[in-house]
Amino acid sequence: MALDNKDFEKLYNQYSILVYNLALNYLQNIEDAEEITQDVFIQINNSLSKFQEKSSLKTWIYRITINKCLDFIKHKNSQKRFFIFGKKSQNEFEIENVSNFEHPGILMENKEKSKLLFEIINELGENQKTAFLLSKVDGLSNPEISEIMKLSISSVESLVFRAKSTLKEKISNKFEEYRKKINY
Amino acid sequence: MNTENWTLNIIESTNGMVKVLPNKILFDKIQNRINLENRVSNKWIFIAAATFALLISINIKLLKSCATKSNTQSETVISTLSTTNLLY
Repeated sequence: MALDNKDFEKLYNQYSILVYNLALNYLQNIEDAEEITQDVFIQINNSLSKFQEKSSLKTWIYRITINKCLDFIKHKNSQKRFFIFGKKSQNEFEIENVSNFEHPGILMENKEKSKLLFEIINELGENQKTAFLLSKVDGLSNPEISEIMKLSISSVESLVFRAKSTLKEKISNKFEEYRKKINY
Repeated sequence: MNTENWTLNIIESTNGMVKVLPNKILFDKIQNRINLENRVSNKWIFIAAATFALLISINIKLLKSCATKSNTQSETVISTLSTTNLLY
């Protein structure tokens, strides 16, 4: 059974910022984040009656959003593979390019740096990326992340640690490029 | 600036990040999609019901025609046997 309009609007007002920002951090594209937000709330509306309250509503919404984002990325990557073997996309730029994204919530002086950070975050594996985004960007605690990802707290700690190490390594590799760019 | 500082600056670049508000028309878009889904689902329910009714009526008709066919066949066999009254 679906929610009535007032309850749904209340739920939307309560969680839309969470869903939209998480999708934005994941996908780094405003249109895609809006599409995912729509999909998430439609799923919430359709399956709230099946929600068994084994976890909090917030955790459940986080899980739906993360799964939708991961599916979206997989779908986009499969499209990309198709375009490699098949006909070329008219909007190739949109499919290939996520690194040029400027997050609207980032401080002006950090825009350039965060562009590079998001580019490298995209190179992380699914679990490392999720753990890092939830921890560093969303500011969740390790127990909260472990509940969302259905992993132990120590696994989350390890994921965040490995994600940070990988990021540090990849970012430091880019330092030479940056220095050359500055010298020019 | 050395590599370590630069790397740290990049990783810390999301500090002070503010939450972004979604577009105001997003809620209307979601409601439109929900309404549309409900409408589509009713339409599909009707189509499914109509298909079932059609299948059931075809089955009944086929069963009836098969039954009459087998009756007439057995009657023909009996009538040919009874003309001579000889079994061998």
